[in-house]
Amino acid sequence: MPGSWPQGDFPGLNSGNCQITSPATSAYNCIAWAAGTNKQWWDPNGLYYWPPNVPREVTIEAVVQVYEVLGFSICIGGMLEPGFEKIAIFAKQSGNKRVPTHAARQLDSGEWTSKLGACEDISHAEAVSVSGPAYGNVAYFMSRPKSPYPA
Amino acid sequence: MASWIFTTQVTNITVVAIASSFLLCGPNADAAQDVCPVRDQTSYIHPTGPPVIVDAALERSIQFQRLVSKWRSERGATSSIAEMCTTPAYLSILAMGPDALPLILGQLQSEGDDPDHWFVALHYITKGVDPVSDQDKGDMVKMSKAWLEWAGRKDDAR
Repeated sequence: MPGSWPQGDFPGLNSGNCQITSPATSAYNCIAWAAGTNKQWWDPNGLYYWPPNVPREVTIEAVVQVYEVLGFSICIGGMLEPGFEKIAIFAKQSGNKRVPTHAARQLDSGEWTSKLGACEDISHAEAVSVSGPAYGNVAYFMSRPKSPYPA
Repeated sequence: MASWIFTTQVTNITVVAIASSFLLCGPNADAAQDVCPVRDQTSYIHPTGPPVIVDAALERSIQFQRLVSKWRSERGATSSIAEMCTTPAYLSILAMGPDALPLILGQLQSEGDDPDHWFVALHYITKGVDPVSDQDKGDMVKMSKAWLEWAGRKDDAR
């Protein structure tokens, strides 16, 4: 599993619980990928795409709002629930505040998929498999009813 | 006694000669060929040609490429543009100022269909230019195209 990411950033990833599922690219990031697109890089920086009416700020609240706009709401845990899509929002401590770092999306199998910055996207067994020095820990799980119409 | 001194001196000279030869030639045959004169061949220890002249533009280009590599390593797996564009290498590129503009645009062009995150640097160095339309924000290929077209228009205007 030699991805292009710094191996020390993800001590929970190993060849048994993770698979690379795309080449490395700067075309999209984790926030976009968790929302279901690989066509854009979503970032609150004014030069990039950010959903309308969501504050362009690097806060957990703003990232939660991004997914609320898409129909997600905060839920209790990351267990697989038939009929629901789930995402996990990660945050880490920076000084005296917690900053959002990453979002992962649950697959139909119950595994998770993550785009690691400008590196590859991967599938991983548990949401917390990507916890560590780079992304911190899961701050929120969010869910929404699955669309009856496949994308 | 005289005979003993003479013999000892000869032995010492021999030992010093062998040791010097080893130090000069090195333990492998290639090193020996580089340094030791071979019969009927001229040998050079140092190049005798004129010094290579590196002009300022080439030096900047080399420095820029070095910073690009360093930046890609420093940014790791972050998804945050704020974090990505405040690494020491990216800040060093910003600090190059207008000199970096043609280098960044050249880099962007060379990256083709998978452009990297040069837009913050371009925006900063051009003091606020943003040629990307709202509907194309986040689409990296379209963002890159907009900047390269902007550069083309700028060149045409000269």
